[in-house]
Amino acid sequence: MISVLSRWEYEDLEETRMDRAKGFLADNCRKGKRGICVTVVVLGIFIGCALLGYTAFASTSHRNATLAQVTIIFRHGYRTPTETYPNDPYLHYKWPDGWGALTKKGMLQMYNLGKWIRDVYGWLIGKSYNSSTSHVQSSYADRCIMSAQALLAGLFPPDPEETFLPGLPWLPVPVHSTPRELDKTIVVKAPCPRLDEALKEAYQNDTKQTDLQSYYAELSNYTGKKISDITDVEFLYNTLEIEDLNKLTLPEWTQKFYNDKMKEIAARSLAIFTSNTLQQRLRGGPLLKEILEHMMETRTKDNWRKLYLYSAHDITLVNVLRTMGFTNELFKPDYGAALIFELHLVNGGQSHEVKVLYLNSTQTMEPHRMSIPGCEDPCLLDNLIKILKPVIPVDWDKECILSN
Amino acid sequence: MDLRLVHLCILTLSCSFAQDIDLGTVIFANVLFRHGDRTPLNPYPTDPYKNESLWPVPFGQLTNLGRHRHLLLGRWLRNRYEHLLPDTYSLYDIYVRSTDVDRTLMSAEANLAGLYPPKDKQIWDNDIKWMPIPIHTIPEKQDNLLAAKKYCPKYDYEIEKLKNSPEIQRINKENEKLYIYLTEHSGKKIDSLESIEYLYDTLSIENIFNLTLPKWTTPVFPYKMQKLASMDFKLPAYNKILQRLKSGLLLGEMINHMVKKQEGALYPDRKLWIYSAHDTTVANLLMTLGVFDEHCPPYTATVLMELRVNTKEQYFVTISYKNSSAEPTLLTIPGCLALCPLHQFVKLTKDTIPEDWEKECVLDWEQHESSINLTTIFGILTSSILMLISLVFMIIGFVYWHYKREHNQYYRRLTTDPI
Repeated sequence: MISVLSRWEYEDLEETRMDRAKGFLADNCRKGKRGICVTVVVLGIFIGCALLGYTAFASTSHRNATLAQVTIIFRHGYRTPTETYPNDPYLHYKWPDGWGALTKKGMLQMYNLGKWIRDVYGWLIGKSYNSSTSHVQSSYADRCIMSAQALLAGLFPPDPEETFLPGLPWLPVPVHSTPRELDKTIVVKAPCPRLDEALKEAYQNDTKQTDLQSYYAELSNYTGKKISDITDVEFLYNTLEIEDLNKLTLPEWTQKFYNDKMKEIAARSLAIFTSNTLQQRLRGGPLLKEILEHMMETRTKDNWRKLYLYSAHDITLVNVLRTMGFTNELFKPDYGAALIFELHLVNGGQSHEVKVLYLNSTQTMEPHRMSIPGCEDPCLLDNLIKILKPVIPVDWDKECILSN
Repeated sequence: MDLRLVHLCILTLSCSFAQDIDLGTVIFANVLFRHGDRTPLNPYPTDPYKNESLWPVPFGQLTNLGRHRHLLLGRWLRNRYEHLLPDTYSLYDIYVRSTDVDRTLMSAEANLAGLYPPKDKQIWDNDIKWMPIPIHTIPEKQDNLLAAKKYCPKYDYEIEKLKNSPEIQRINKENEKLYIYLTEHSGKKIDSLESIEYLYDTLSIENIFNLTLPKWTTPVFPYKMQKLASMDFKLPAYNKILQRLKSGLLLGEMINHMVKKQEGALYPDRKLWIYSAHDTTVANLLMTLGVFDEHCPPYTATVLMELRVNTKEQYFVTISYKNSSAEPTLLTIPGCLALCPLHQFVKLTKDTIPEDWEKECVLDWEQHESSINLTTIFGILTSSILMLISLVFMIIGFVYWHYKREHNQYYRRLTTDPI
């Protein structure tokens, strides 16, 4: 009944309505306001599009549907110097909390890094900490354990109902660690005669290649400390850098030395620990092996861990970078620098793609993509495993034994 | 009668005296605590609450209540050691060690949040009244100090021996009916004190969470099971050898801190050593000190081993146990007073501290031999005698046969000769 009756009326009604709308538009546009009319329409369309785009993409601007797992290795936050030199004007400076300690600024830095990780990868790991989703491993150094804790405070801020104390927006999250002498992944200080031997050789080769004797002599003279290799220079650079960061006036002589050249020597000192395949395999290999094994879990398990955090040192980052083949440039990671591995499931979960990002500055928080040498985009996990095979140890302990 | 009266007099006198004595001031403390409230570790097969998603946090993890309880304990410690610890954290004052388990690591963190709320200079973020403090740990399989899970064949051998001893077997036999009943209803094999303890733990957590327990638990939970579960806590450090291998290193380290402190040789000169661990760790240490009162150590149960010095510059050790929100109770180790002179304390505990743990863990041949009992010796003896007798018989037989054969030969030769 209704359909029969109203079809006619309906069309009629629709016509009048359209007429009226046309009239409104025509009225406004006719009276010399065409410009305004066009502007309104164009602006309207523009705003509409922007709103649509915002609702569709903005809230998930970081949400990347293919992302399956993230591993982040980061250097601890700002610290006080680990050592000084006899002629240091700040030899008896009262550093808060002593030598090699994480500073307040460092805590805040790590906290902010945690917040950044929450922004970018938070959706992947859920709002609150869950041991089956995230895992945190730290070097044994106090500053690394504390850095991890501060980072986690930013990464897992509690919901109001989760706070166990009013006014304390913090929750404990476990940070696992291994004593130095047993550590084979982060600082790699577990006994390994083969590595000791290789390092000695590397220093010898380095001395042969470059002549820095007069440079060392001058530095020894100024500092009152025997500077005899690039690592001595690196430690001195670190001390000067921290004093500088803390706005302590450096002595006169540093004007000639505390510069890019010194920084480059320091970076070379970090690189010397992974100067050949053997060193890379035994020093950077174990951690890389662990990371690849975690990535493989996305194939073998239904519920794999989504986030692995490693609280580490500058040397850890350099070891891993160089072991992966980034040997053309020298690295001197800043405090809080982070190396990020993203594992993506593409082609409907059929292929696993690895992306590496490097965040060198916690001030800008802008990581940049790094193209893995020998594994062009898209770098598939299987390819990566194949490429890295020579630098992944099979039995670390056995390979560490000197063969003669 | 008279004598008894005198005794009573002396007793009351000494008691009242004990209350008045100068406990001195604490100059150093070893603190060992259990983690806070957690969810069950491993529910039983017929458990109506075995679905992990029914719980606020995954199995075996610290709950919000647990965090809070530890924060309060941290505040209590701050209060007790206010004279000893500066307001602000420094690694030169305190060392914190935890087992490598989420809930103990988290408990230690929550505890430290209570012990060291950041003050003025140390505040790094105005909204967060908390600061990071390092907690040290080591993978469980390499930990022979706190988790005490490093492989030790000798310990495994000794604990097995204890479980098979007539004493424990008798307890098992006495409770056979209960074991069968529990196995039937829980769907899990219950055949030892240990397995009862695990089941009891799960049920008591569900009880704390106000979950209705299945009907079958009514006749056995809590009392019947609790009695046996408490008994189980005595086993891991039941005798000297087990104590030596399980708790000896921890006790040794604690004593070492105090001796060094007295000598002025503790470097860094710390005031507090905190250990974050489990109920068994607490029970084992108390067993090793000979002061364990059969019970299941509750969440945040704390042992305080304190070094005190009195006005006469004498050093004493006290053991206090805090197993509730109330103040701790002072315990007296056998052979000493509650206020035990340090040198006396060292002497009394000496035989529970291993000299070389790794070596003592080796299960060597000598120990196998010493384990050979009379029956096996008797068995070996009789069988060797039997073998000897049979050998003699064989020789006799052979000689006889040989002799006979020779005669035959001689006879045969004779017959063939005329041909």
